[in-house]
Amino acid sequence: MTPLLAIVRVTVRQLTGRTRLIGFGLLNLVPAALLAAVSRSAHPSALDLELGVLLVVPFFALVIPTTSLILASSGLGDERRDKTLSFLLLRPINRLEIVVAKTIAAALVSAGFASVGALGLSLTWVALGGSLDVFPPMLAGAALACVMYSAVFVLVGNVLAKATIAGLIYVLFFETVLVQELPRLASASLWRIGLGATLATMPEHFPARALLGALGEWIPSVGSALVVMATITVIMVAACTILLKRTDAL
Amino acid sequence: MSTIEIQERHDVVTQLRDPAHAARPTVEVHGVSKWFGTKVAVSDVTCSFGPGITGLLGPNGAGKTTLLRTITGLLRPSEGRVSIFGTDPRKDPSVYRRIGFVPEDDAVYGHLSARQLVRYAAELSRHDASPAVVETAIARVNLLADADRPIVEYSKGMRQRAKVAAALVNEPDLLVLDEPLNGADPTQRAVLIAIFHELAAAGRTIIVSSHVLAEVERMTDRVIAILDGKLAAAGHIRAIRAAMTHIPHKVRIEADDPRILARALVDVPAVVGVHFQDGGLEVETSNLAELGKAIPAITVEKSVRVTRFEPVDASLESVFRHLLSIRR
Repeated sequence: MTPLLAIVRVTVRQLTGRTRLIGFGLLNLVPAALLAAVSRSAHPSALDLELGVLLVVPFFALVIPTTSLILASSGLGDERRDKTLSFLLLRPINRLEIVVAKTIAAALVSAGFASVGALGLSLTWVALGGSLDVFPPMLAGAALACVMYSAVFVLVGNVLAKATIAGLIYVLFFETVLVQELPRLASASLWRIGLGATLATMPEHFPARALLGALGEWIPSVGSALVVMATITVIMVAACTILLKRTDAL
Repeated sequence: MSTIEIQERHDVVTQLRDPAHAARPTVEVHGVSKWFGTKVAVSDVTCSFGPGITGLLGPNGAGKTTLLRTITGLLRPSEGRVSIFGTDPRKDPSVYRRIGFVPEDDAVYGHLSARQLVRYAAELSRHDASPAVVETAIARVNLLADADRPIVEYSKGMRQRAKVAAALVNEPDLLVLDEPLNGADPTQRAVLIAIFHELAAAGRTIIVSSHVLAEVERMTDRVIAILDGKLAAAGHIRAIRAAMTHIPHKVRIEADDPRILARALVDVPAVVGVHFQDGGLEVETSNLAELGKAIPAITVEKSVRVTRFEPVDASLESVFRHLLSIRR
């Protein structure tokens, strides 16, 4: 097995301890439970839009960022905290391989949890009379967001001891409050990029247009979402590689 | 302390800095300094390491771990340079194929078993990670019986052995060990020391840092002592002790008539003091060689038979104690 795959394998194991499996598994199912609960009390005329919002917004705006940033900042952050980083660095592998492996592992695990959440939401949507064809767009958008959060927070976890707190401030203050006030910043909101890709590929019967308000001024399309994701990921991975190369492994 | 005394002690330290270089160096440290903000952890250290075991000594906080981490490339030197097998490890990671490192910290992946850890180490080193190779490395440190238990359940000594197995799996030419015997029981220590001797005999370079001097003494007689981040002494333990001429050497001498011998020794210029102890003599001398030359003449002249002549403060511990006293 190549070093890259070996790091991915061990990191996936690190990130999927029993507590995390249960905690993040339940967290990702909360939006589905919320959707089911609200559907019982919703007025039939508001059902489409209200449930449409509930189908995607809590999941993309809170659950995916929280899950991804905590997992990704553990990728290299836990190695620093547990002082196991030397085990990786004193090997005949370049730093880029380490960062790419950590990002892949974090994205895989985050996307795994997100797929559970997306499936739960889609099945609830089906139970409410919708169809299962909302699942692939949700999964794709969620995966996109997971990759971006992973790339960003593997870097942040490598630099900051309190990366999770910094991440939560970013998500709750910048992505939620600030972008709401200054919609021009929407394109720097990672979950909005994932949600944009999801809405752009949702089936026609889904009230995607009505949800555009949640995205600020950013106009969703799959192509632009992919470009932004690729750009962010490349920049973050490169920055993290340089930092890992140039800084001391204390 | 007078200026003259300070100067004398400074001279002794300077004298002790004499070549800290291995005959066939595999690791070279040139003028390395490392500071963190305003704290200087390592200051202008120049030395080299070659095949065999070299002990890196120093009290806690002396800079041993910082120096080892700088040598391995984990830390970037603030000044100076390090080369391992002719390569700067920070510029060319391929040199890590030939290096095994056992960190001081209790740094190990607790969720993995020893078998998984050793396999992971082999994979990361681009080495054969087949079950047979992994098994051999684990067997070497006597950990086979517990190889499949998670490391988090291990005792400290077992974790140390797991780390050593992981460091050995790629058959390194250079083994860097930071306090490798911490937490190991006497049997485990003996096993690990035997492994290090075996590797040294096979021509591998082994750098072992420890503050337990008796253990270092069991492993090697070549040491590099670090005090306050500076190279305080280097070389063979006896040679270092011999260079400390300002501190009298202590020699235990046993003879059939110690009283006659003591009276004769008092007249030898190199003898600083003579004490009766346990039926023999403890002689303090400023020049061990001169005392050695004087003894045969005395035995002939005074018809005394000397049955034992043994320097008693050339142990690593006493040498180190002297070095610490110089620092103070």
